[in-house]
Amino acid sequence: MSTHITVDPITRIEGHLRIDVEVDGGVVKKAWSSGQMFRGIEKILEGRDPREAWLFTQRFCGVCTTVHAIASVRAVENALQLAIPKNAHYIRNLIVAAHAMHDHIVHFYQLSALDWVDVVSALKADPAKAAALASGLSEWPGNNVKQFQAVKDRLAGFVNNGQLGIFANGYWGHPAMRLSPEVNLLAVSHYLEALDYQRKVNQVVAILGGKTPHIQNLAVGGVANAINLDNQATLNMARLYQVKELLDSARQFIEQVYFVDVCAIGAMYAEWLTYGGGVTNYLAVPDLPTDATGRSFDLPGGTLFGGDLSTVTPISSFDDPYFQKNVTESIAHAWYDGDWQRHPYEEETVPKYTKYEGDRKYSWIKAPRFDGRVMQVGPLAQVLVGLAQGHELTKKWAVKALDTAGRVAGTTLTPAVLHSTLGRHAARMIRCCMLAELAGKHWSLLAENIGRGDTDIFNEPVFPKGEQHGFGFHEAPRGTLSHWVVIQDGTIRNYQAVVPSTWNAGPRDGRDQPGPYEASLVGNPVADPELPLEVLRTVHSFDPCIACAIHTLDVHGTEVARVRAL
Amino acid sequence: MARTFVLGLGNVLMGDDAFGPVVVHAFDDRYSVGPEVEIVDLGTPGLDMTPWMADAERVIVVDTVRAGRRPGTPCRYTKDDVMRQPPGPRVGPHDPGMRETLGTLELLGRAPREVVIVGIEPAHTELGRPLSPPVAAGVHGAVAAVVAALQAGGLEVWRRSVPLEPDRRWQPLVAR
Repeated sequence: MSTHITVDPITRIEGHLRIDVEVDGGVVKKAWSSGQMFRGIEKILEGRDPREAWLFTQRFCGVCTTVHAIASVRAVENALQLAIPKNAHYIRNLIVAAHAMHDHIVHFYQLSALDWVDVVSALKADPAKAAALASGLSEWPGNNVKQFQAVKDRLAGFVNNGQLGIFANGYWGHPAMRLSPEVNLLAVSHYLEALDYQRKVNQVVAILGGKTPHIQNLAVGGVANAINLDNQATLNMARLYQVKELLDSARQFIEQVYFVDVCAIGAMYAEWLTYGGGVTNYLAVPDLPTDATGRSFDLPGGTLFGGDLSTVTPISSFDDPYFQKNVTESIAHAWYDGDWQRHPYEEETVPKYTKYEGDRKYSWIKAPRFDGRVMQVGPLAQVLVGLAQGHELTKKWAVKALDTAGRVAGTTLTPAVLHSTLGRHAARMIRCCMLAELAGKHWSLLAENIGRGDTDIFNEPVFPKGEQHGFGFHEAPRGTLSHWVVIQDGTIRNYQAVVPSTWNAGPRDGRDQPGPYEASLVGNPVADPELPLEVLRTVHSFDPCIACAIHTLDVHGTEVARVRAL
Repeated sequence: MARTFVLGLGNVLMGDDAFGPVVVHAFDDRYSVGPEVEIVDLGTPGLDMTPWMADAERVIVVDTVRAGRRPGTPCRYTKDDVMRQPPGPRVGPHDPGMRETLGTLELLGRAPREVVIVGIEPAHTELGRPLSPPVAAGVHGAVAAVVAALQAGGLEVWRRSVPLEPDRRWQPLVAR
């Protein structure tokens, strides 16, 4: 007899991710992923000035603000075939890298850690043993007896005051929790420390972007950061060095704490390197351009299919026809009028809500496909596509991560283990280490270029009469993002954003191929249907971000149970 | 460095959810404050609210609050009110997470000493619609509540002789 579980946090925010699974014999047999909010935000852009589109798109989502701003200016620049100055690329790249580092740190420590770390168990830890354990893995100065004792004392005070409720979203004491008290204490300590690094990388975005979370410095054609090394009010040497200091400090945390934590947790939950794979077709776009026209990049892009790393098709420029031609979206199982699969330039957004029916229409999310195939996007896609292309920096960090985790687990790990729930966490950490290193590189490129006397930041866009099509892609923290724009006589006629979480969280398509979330859940164990921690582990590993988003408090807390097991 | 933050929360593209940002901008246009106060249109930061609250003396949050009252009804809450509610499980990083944020900061010993929520009951939070009339009518009162909250904390607030008129291109959307 199978059990149907719905995980649906629908009450606090209108529209959200709802996950349904059918469990039989303690294993997920079938899964459905549903976006519960209409997100036809693109309609707001019709008829507007393409130069201003990014100001609106960065309001799509409160977590991914800069991401939608970058993709938007790139799309319009692509439509105009407008190259931008080197400085503009470097400044954008620093914002992109800092934002992504920030996002990856937040994802691991704030969103996911409690899926693996039992806060209450940390109370039983011996701080001295925890410090000894940590010193074998990392040189991080925060790993000392005094710090661990302080965290443990605070935690104990919290529990005694009955305040632990703030972690009620964690499933402590769950049979699937398995770390030793010392590792749990270590992780709680890092969870608390992560906050400062979250803040530091955010400051980089604020300095370069003018403000955060909504940056002010972008423009179609470049950036608006006036550069004058002798002027206090512009981007000058003092500001540049401030940026460098913040980036260096974040890099230290990423390499000495985040890297080690993911390797250790990966090793101690090794069976989660076997669950959660699902769709093994991967798509990533290249990012961090190093030349003016967008033909060479520091982050790799491409596609690979069936998990086969020996065959990879690169995506290698901002107007790559392979990418441009192959992206479509299907609405067969989504609440829109019709049953088509179309290219973004040809899409229309006509909502038509019917009830939730798993075998018919059940989501507001469209199902993006690449050459008709389901693709998984995200850091894992980028890392695998990089490995398949022999990308040096990817290899360096992936090998280091697999070696370290393998050493802790007492086994040999190969890239094949990355097709999994924990593989996605590992890949995100690997990408974060790459970004930390590349942020340093692009800082130097910017400083050197300015040092040579180049202060160009902007090329004026000119909108010809008639119709232009453009697409802009960006490898965002959650994966491949693309904006598609049709411009008619200088105003926007059609705009579509194909966002990472629609690639991953989308429903089945016209051929009933399940989306990546849906496929990844099949085969997951579920020990207790009332507390489906394992389902959350796999869903969280994708870093879901689909609400795009409102913020309304519900002070009276009329929440109903988010988990229903029938 | 600022020790007091006025944070406008909400999505400007989503009807009454724009209330928080609209109020902090309206405040900014009409009043100036000293360097110890920072006014931020924070959008929908989800998990990213933590850095804005850490180590602060006082945080004034302007937000929509669902409490089953008539749309446009103003309300005011404090840190204790928020902390009394249990948090829910997180599926995505968007979940507002005010309680988790404050809880984490309490655990760190870095929570703001005082939190005031200046709220309003929304009528609708639908895409691309302007503020509903009752919520739009509440903007002025909320600005006054922010002024009062700052003054109650012993902070100076000066009325600008000429209101600012900054370039705010998304505003037609909410004012329409």
